[in-house]
Amino acid sequence: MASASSNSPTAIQLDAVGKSFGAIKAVSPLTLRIAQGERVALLGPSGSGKTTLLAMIAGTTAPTTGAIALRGKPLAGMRPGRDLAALVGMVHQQFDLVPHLSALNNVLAGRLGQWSAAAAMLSLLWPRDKDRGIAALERVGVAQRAYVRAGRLSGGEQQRVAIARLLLQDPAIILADEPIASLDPTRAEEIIALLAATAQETGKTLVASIHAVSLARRHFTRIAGMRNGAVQFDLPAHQVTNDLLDALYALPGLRDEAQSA
Amino acid sequence: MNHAAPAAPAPRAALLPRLSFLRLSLLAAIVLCCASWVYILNVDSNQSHSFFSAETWRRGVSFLKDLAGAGSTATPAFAQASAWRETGRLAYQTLAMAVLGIGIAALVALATFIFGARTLMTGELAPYGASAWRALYIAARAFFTLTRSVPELVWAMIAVFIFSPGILPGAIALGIHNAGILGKLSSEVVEGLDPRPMRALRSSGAGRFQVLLYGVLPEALPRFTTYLLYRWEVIIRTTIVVGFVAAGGLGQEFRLAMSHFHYTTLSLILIWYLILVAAVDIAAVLLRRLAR
Amino acid sequence: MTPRFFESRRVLTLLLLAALAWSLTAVSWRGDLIHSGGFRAIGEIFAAIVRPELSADTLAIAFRASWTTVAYAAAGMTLALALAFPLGVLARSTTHQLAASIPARAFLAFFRSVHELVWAWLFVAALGLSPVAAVLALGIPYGGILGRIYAELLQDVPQAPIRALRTAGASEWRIFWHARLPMALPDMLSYTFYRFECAIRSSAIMSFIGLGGLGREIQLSLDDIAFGRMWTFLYFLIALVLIVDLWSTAVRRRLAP
Repeated sequence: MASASSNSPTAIQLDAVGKSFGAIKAVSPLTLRIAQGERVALLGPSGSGKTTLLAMIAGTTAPTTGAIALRGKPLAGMRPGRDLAALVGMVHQQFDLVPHLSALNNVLAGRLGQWSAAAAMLSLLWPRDKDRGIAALERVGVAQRAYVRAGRLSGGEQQRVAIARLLLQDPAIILADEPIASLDPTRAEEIIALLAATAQETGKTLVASIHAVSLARRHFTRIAGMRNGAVQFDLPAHQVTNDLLDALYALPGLRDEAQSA
Repeated sequence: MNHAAPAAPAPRAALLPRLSFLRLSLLAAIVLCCASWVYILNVDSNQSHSFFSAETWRRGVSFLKDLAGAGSTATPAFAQASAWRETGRLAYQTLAMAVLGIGIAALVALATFIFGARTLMTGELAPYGASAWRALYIAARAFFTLTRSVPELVWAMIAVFIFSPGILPGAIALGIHNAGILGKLSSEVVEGLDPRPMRALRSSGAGRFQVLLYGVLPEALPRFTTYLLYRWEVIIRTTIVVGFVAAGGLGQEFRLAMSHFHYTTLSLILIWYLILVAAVDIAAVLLRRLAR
Repeated sequence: MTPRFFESRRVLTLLLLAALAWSLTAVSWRGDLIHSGGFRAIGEIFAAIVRPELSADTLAIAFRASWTTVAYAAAGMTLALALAFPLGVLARSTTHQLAASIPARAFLAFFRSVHELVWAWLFVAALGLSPVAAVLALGIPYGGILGRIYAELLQDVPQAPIRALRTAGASEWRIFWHARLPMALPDMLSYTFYRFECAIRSSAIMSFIGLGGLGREIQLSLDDIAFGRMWTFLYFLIALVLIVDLWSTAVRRRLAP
């Protein structure tokens, strides 16, 4: 898989990208290339720097060192707005949706970058591009909930609506920061499968941080393990061994014991 | 290492000043109350007759008799259909004044409350060129403080210098004061909103105005409406007071009845007043249900 | 999955707009809505904002009037507390004491249905001009509002600890003093402090029926058409409200869990 992807154009290029908050090093300088169409799972214990890394790729946090380029365009200096939204979109753990807006309006918000202020205002009363919104909701399987307020949807439904918004936003790169952290296992697998299928069908690049190793193996082409702000391994999904994963998640004390034994 | 700076453990010493400020406040409040009572009782004892005397009791009883129309040969106003009609018309005017007042307050508050929200004007969601927006924020907050600190009645006294007596000056006085209250409350609602949906909108390409439309207003407006209805309950009680000086509705008639010693008319006005208050309380409860 | 255009919140918005339109019809829209000197008055009032009168005499009066205003407010609040606490405790709707709660709630509702200035005028007309009348007039409606809020706060405390105590065989009275009240107290104190701020404003307008304080000075300045002096007193009133607001914010921040 890694050999196949090296022929594809580069989607994400990180050059010695690092991030510190004061004296605390969140991400040690790392260099990484992700090709268009790859599906990369970021694994690692909490606090390993996955969230910070994703935020830097999304352009919401500026790196302290190094440079990021998305599809060849340098990210530095890009303001949030239409151009950035066409490049990269993000799903979070939850709380992406506006609770009092209907699911449909939340999805259509993915088009806001293309709309004028007046069109956006009118769309709150008479939804604009409604067919595309409904189609996106159908694709993620919650079309029957289109007119329900987002705050009244279940956690899984909310994530589906957030993914539907990404479909309308239509970025080249999809980032997902712990998209299943607050879902039960069945729901979690459905959401990950949906994200992976969406990326695969449209040829988009997907980078997701998750905790579920089995899901990472089943739905992603490449797995990167992070610990203490550094990448421990970065391999095609089928080459990731249980030993590597054990070492990634081991508590420091336990690992020392294991090594001495 | 995650990106959040580690939370410093709360130093134990911080607990002490916390408690002592509250204790001091309580002590200050008690001292203030005692001093106030001493002052008031002192002034009272210098009056021609003290409040705590048999004279007060005698006057109170005779006032209640007057209100009930006892001891007078004339038909009490509350037994005359024409008087009911006449005061009913004034009650209708009073209701209109209250609604117009809350309407003015709502429009002014709606036009300004966004500027009073610190998180939107100076935070990460603030527009570029922040200093001008910061000035707007300060202006909005100053406006809210000025308008809400001055009671409706005082605004009404000022309004009659400008407007002809009637419903309008009273409604404007009610509107100015309540615009400050509603504006401050709504700004604080916006400041308390979850920023995550707004950030998500921003990152999916929405402009700042669109974030306002999709992320802020849908969340803030239902709360605004709830506050509006709560204030309406307060305003209906205050409208009669504003009418004392603005010369509209039941308030003006109340004042006339007092100065002409028409005590049974006074009773009738009070009855209408209580009916209005009860009706608005019930209506507000029903309307709040729609807001949910 | 139909779009519900007549969703409840839209119905409410339409109702409120209709009410506003109706209220506009009650105003007699004639040419003389603003009277002849009105425009000049607007100019003079606004011009005086930046030119308050700051002579020693005025300031001395302002300080004395401020104290009177604060004194009425504080005394009124003590009375309100004395009314609100027992009635609020009785008014909370627990199934145990419906017989006490209904009359208590009726009293509270009656107290707060009449504005403090209307109470004040009635008291002064009935009992004679005395500062105690103003304190009563302030304390009664404030007691009604505080009592209702106390009842709600005492009712809305977390139920788990109370059930635990009840299972352990504690009497309702013990539960009240050891669980219910301590849990509700921070919110009750917060609200009381907020109400004190309102009491300052209410106390200022007591002057309308002939009692002293900042309101009386504002009225006298208006009678003299001395807008500069009026703003001096208004600024004192605003400062009082701000001080109490800051105080109550500081207290509330420390009481918050």
